[in-house]
Amino acid sequence: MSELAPASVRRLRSLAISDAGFVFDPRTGHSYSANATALCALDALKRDVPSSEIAALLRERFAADDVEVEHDLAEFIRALGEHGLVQSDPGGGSNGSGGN
Amino acid sequence: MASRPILRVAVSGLHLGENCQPGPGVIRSLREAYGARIHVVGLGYDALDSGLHAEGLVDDAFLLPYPSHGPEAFVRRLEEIHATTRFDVLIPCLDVELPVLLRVADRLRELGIAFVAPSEASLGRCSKDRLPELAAACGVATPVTRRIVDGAGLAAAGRELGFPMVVKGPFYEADVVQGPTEAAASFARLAAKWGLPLLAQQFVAGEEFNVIALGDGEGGVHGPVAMRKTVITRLGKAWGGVTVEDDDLTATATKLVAALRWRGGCEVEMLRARADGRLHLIEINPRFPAWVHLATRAGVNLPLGLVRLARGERPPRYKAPPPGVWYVRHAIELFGDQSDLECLLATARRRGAGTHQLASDESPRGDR
Amino acid sequence: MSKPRYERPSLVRNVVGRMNKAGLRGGLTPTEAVETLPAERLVAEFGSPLFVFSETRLREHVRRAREALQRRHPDVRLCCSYKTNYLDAVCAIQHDEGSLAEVVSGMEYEKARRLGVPGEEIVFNGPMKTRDELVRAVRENAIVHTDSFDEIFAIEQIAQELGIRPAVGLRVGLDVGVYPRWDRFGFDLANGQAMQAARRIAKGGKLRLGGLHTHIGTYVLEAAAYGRAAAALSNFAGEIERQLGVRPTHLDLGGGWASCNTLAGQYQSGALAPPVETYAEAITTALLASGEGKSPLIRVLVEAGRALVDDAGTLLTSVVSTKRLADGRRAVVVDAGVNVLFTAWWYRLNITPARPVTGIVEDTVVFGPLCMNIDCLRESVQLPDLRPGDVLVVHPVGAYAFTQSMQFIRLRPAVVLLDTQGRAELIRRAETLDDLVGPELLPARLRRAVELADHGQENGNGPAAKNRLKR
Repeated sequence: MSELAPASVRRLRSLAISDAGFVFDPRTGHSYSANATALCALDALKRDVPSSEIAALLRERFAADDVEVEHDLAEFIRALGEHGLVQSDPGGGSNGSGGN
Repeated sequence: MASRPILRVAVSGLHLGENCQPGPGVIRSLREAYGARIHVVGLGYDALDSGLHAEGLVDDAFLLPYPSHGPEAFVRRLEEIHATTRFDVLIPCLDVELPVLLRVADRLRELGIAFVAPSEASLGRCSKDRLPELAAACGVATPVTRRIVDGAGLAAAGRELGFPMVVKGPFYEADVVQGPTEAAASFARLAAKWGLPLLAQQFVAGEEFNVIALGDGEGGVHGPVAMRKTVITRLGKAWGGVTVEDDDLTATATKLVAALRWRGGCEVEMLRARADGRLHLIEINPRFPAWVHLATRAGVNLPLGLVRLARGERPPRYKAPPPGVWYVRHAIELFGDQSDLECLLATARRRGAGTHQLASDESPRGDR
Repeated sequence: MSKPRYERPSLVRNVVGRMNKAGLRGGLTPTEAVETLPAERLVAEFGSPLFVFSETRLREHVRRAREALQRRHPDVRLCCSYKTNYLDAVCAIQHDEGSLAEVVSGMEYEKARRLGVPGEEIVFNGPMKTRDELVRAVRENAIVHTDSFDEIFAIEQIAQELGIRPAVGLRVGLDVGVYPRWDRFGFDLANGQAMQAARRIAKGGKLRLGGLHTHIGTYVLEAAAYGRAAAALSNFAGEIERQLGVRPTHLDLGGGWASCNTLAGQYQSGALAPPVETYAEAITTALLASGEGKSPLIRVLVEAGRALVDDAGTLLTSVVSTKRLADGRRAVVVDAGVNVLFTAWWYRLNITPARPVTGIVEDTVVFGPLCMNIDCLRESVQLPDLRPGDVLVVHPVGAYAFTQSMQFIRLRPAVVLLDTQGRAELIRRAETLDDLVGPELLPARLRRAVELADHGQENGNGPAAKNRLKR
């Protein structure tokens, strides 16, 4: 899985993220509600943790047996791209069938 | 510390936007009557409902599920809020809340929450499509009104009533349309927003007057105050007005409210026709209007009377309001940081009073 | 401490007008059980999708309506509206509660007879009754309401041939302010057709005048309209008695009472529809106040269907897959679509998860399993992160959903009844392919062509294909 570009990591670092799941984007003024796994993933992405390790982290923190965490994470990063929060990477979402 | 509140009241309808809601006017009227001895629980529907944030308005803020989610969700949330912050009187300020509240009246009473609301029967009789019946019973003129559910009905109404014609939503909003094309566009817009049926109404040219009043449920009508809109928004809403003295107007409104055996606040919209000078009944709104504070400033504090009714007491004896008291709404910006919204979105509650100042680190939003 | 449940990571933009956490929470209490039986267990036992009917709720609704009417009028009978739901068990429960049968076709008539309902307890309505159906109905003294003069003429002829003089009623078209007005049915009162029909029946020498029937609309939220209909029908009965010297045998006020369902375009929740007592009071008050208030009171029939049956039916459906649409909306595909929930096209059906919900909920589109773009159960409903296999509870679906279901692309699912002891009984098994192809007749020449094609494709598996076709 490709990692985020440095500009995307900087952009994610600029977000104001609360423990309650409230995310504010200072550049656009949009705010978002995030669930617990999204908060965990965002925190790791801000620290430039590689995707494979984020998936492991999610498995460690949440009851995620038999779940395609890698696929979900790729989808999440794609969604961040749609919200303009990371630079969209055409190759980034191709890991959809992974996890086997 | 202020003295112990003698009234703990929850009020909804708090947004002052393009379409102003009555909650803030009701609260200000009550604050004028009770001074520091009132605790106001603000009930909003959106984290950006302005009244939740205005300084000096609410002492605590909660979000409610939309009435369209049905009575069960609504009463469960009120029970939850009541368990957090006790309140004794509930003042619903939106039309769509009433049918839902009437269904759960017993459960609210069990909690010890008093509220004043019209019976389902009187509410039904003042619904827009049944007004002609009421007007006829009271000998009051009213524009010809037709219920419309489809394009054919709309076209038929256009032929019958001619243009301009008024197309109205079942709860809110009306468009004056100049021809069939505009009528169709208005029908599509209002139907998409509010559902069917809609109403088509004969357009009567004339000057509009509004009367605010409080009914006691037994035919008694307290303090009618009549007003003419002086500043009107693009949506046809009053942005400014002046009290007027017109015995015919207040007597007609009183007769209608009495005939309904109305219990609670209401607003009677009437029009004096240019052609023959007769008063026409346009609408009866089942709650106080957004300009309720004007009546208070004219000496007729109807929200105070409503609270007294809720508590089983008699409303104050109101004097006739002087004509010429005017108001004009003055919109100001409210400021906050993201924490206000975060709190409301995450927990559906914001503790403490609203503030319109930018919260600094020493936030005046006192967490008590 | 156990780990929290995993959900897909999700970030939802807050939009003004929808910034309402409480609203989401209010609408998202899970429906974990139907009556006392866990939804997930029902699906595990009987399969998915699954229609579930509650005998307790159905009986409660029927009793409540009957008592509301009979408290105010001594001679009222409820009729079980077959078209609303003609599952045998659902009709049998209503007959057990004393309801007559109200049918609108020969097929429904036969279904009622098969359930042991005698002809004189069957109300036969509808715009089409074949000659054979009419012969049977008049022979069995069914309560026939005619819809047109042609039908009256046909019955006259049948009566003559059989040498009998049957009682025949008529459906009366009324304008009581309900839109759209159903003027395609029966004989209009205002233009004099209804009196003309009554005169023909009463004075034509071949028939006797039966009852007067009207049915003012469907999902009529204004109970007062029934009062106006009852008054109009009652006054008409009085007018008939004055002019023709005969008294109609009964007044049938039809159905159309609203259920707790919510129409797609309706703002307020369907839970605010008038209770049955309001309709009952409107009808009985008008009847007692009208000219027919004199004793003995004329018998009254009521055919409320949806208001009694809708709430008793639930559909359990399972998530097949989840996806993001091109515009970013969340979508789920479930195993029940408009093939079994035709009613999804005009109702905003409640769809709730069958297990407790954590995390954030999102506007979700709920699609059915059909390979058709129109197969959508809800354009937008607040749902949590769902997984394949998660059970969703759709309610209310007791009225029309099953009778209008079709074998389109998929076969119909099983139906269970929860009895008053809380036990689940299968009342209709899931359909098999034989139920679909049983009536089909494949011409021999085409069978051969298929066999050849099969043979070619399957490369030597001809006999297996032949066996399949012969079954």
